[in-house]
Amino acid sequence: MQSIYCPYCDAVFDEEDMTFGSAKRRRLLAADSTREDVVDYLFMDANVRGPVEELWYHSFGCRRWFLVTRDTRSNLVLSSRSLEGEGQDG
Amino acid sequence: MAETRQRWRLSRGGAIDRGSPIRFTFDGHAYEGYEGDTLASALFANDVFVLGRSWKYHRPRGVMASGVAEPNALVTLLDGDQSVPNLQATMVPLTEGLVAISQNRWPGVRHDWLAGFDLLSRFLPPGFYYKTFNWPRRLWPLYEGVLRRLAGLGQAPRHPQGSSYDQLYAHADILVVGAGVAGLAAARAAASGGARVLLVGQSTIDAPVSAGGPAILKRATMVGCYGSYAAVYEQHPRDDRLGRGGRLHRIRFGQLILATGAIERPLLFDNNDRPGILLASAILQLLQCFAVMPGRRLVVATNNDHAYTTAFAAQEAGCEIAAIVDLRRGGSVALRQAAARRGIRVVAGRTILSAEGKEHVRAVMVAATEGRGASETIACDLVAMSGGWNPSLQLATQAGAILRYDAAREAFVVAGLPEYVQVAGAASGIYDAGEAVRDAEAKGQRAAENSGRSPSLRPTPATTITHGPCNAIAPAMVRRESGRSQKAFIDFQNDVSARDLVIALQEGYVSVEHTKRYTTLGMGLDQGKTSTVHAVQLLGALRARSPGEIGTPRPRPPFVPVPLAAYAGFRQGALLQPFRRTALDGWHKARGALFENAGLWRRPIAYPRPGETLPEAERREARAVRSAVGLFDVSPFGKIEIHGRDSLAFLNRIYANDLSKLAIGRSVYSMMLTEHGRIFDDGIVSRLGDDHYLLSPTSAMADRVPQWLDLWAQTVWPELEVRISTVSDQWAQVALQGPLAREVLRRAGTDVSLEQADFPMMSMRQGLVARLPARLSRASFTGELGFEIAVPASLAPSLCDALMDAGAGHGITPYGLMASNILRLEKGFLIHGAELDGNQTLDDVGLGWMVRKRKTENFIGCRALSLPDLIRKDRRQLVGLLSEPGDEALPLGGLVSRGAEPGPEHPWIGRVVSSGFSVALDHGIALAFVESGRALKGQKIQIFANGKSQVATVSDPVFYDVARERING
Repeated sequence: MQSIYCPYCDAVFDEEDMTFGSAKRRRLLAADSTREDVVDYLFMDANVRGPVEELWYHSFGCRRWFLVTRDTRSNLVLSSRSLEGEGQDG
Repeated sequence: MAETRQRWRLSRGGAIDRGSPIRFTFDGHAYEGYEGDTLASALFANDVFVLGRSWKYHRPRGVMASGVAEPNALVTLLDGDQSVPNLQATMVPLTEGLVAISQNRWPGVRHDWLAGFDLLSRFLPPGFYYKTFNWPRRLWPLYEGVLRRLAGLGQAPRHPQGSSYDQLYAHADILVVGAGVAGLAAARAAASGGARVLLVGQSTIDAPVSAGGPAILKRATMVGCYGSYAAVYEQHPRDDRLGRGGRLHRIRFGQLILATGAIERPLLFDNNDRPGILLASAILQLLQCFAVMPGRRLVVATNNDHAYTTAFAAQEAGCEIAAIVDLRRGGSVALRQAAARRGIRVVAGRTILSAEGKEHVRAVMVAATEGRGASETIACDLVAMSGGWNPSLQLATQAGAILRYDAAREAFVVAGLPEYVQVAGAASGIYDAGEAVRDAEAKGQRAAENSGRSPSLRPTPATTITHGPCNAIAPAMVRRESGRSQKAFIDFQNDVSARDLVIALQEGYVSVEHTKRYTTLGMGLDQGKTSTVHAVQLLGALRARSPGEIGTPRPRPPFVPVPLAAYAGFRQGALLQPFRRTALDGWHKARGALFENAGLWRRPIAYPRPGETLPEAERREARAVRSAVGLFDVSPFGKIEIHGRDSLAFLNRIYANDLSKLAIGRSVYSMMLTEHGRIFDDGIVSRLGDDHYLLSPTSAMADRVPQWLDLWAQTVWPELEVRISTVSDQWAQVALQGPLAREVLRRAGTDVSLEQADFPMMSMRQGLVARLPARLSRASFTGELGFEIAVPASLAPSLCDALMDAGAGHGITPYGLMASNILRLEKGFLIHGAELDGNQTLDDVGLGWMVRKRKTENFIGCRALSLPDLIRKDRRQLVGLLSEPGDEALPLGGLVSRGAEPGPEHPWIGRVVSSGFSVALDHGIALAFVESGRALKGQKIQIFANGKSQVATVSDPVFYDVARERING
């Protein structure tokens, strides 16, 4: 069970208040993007071993998406920051 | 007279209160113990050694270990018709009136009719169930029923448990587990910098708590580690006679210190499981904590120094020490001299080959560890054995520890830990108490520093408070024959002997995890606390590998048995699962609705009249909608308002269909796709103003759609000016459906013109209905003329009452989910969870035409639509199915085939996803996904389910009013 800092609420919450999104940052695939680009974006996740920046959603709170850096080896949350880049460690 | 009845109780010493006698019964016999006893210590004091029968061979078994390590002595506590099984007698505090019984014996623990299994043990190798009872195969269920009765542990309670278990949550900067010397020292050091420290221990004794010191949770055992939270089970004393009322704590921590101590290992010899053969530490605990010396003549057998302490203490308590059998030729000279001074005979370089006695040990046969020297039989009534110590690392492993085998200690020790976890004291292989304290203090300080504190503790002076180091250790299995016998038990709880492991290896079970599952080694409640290292050493010896190369099977939570009711906690009966009620819940109930949970919502499925069956009610309600008018609660539909200058641009990127032409006051059925081009949600979009839209996602997706919109608005297009507000709970909504709907609504009174020309299908108006502020839409999920009316949630019952009054003369009928489902099925309308499961494309469901043609505007999922898999010709397409006249409804989930029963040669080509009996057609209808199904229209196919087959005709998915005359009426 993680405790996660929400940069928009400026407070720490239990993981149960949050929803995990993904490590992938979304973008709208261009209508004329190549097969390789489409396949790479849709199916090829990096699946990083180590610190990875993920999108989390404060679903039972401010309903803002923000960025959490989590070490996939230890499952430790290292830091959070807002989409605008403001945040704090752990 | 308690003194005379407690045969083995000493007159002095122990942490028991002789002034507070406690009466209890075991297997129907009354005994007396003292406040401070465990059930195990009180039974020992009363000369009761056989506490149960082993689970496979039904061998008599007694207490072998102490505390959480005990594998044998599992008992059931009774109170009237309530019972709690599988409790360790060493962990059950003695309470007044306690009623305990032994397990896995019939009719009694002393005279078990199944004890003959032990004689057959040669023929009961690992896996014998599957080898022996596999023929004929169809009789296995019968065999299984009998076998389950013969083998096993306690019986599950037959009656519901009282909901007396509680669950709590706590936070700690630093969690210290274990309240021995190391745990206490670590907690004190950790708290010295001001961090919030919680100490969890099994102790029942109040420790003085100083201000700013650690908080202490007593009678508590950490049972599992899940990331950065620990599950801790707290035994709640005196709550009732079954020891119920325990509490399960979930404790979130920043730093974790595990001072979980070490667990002594048995020695391997024939009949090492006989009652009266205990671990040396267990006898020492009986003596020192409970003032019980359960024998007159003791043999101590050890491969290390530590067990000498037990010999000396037992001698001081008046017990004769027949011999100390030391497996080592060397060993501590000082200890041997101390033994000599006490007149104790030490036989070095020898080991026990076997024990004699059945329900109680009578003698041991001792022989040289090597060679073929003469053996000697030593009479005794108690054996203390010590095969070395295992640092107790089950919880550390769960917390992410990596282990290595340490040859000097003959045990697995920690080789690596996550940075927020530390292991202190004996658990880290430090068996000297003084050293353990200093180690724990240093680790407590480090945890405080890791928490951003500055600890200020004066370390405890460097004194040695040793029990005697047990570092000089000899292998426990030196004699080949004693290490490989059928009667030399490694895992006592699961009746796994050394020979079982040899057989498993011969049969090719090389991986230690496979061996565990084949032999049941290290399984069950015990999870290998006393057995794992012996097993790994033996497997290593057999395969000429080091134990480190073999590795340990992974110990699973819970660390000690926890009643399932504690995990359930308050989640029982009505509190089992939370559900959401609509604002009309009471209104439905007052009209006799039957409810079912659909997703998180409690929804009415029908309103059966007295004497009416559920299918009859379903058909009556559906007919009322087709012929007159019905009322249905559609509040669970999502309601999301979109405001802002860029609302249209945003929605056009979210939806696959074009919203540019949507006029104010009009609605359109719309589709959201995933990035993979599959249907994410189908719902209605209405335009309320220039930059004001209302989305109605389906009930199933009402919670996920806002999150999806927020994701794109916040992380991808922050430059768009768009505001997303979920108002699903603010509005209640009912559907008024049927040819008389317009008439009833007019009679209820509204300022909105209901004429077809003013208020056509798929439009939305705001106004008053029955003098209530309302949003009205021409929408229909039934195929009939219909309106959906939304009012502020609290006004919903008033609205429904007004509509019922207005429709009284028109036969207005409230209808539930069952009628709604058959009505929408007749129209081929889609439902999430039936037709839509996240894998369908628009073309699969026949809605490919919805995708906008202008390719200049991109939307989510657009690019994926041209991926090869999405344009395959043989994709499964939505079709209707008509059953043969007179047949019953088609089976839900049935497999579709062109003829032959689906199998390896005849692949099935589709599946029935919705089925019902049409009221309008008086015919079984269904929706199915079938490979290239639209090309099969008019053809007959076969549906297979439950060993039966049925013929059906492929049709259009719309069965009723294909021309849409009624819906537009």
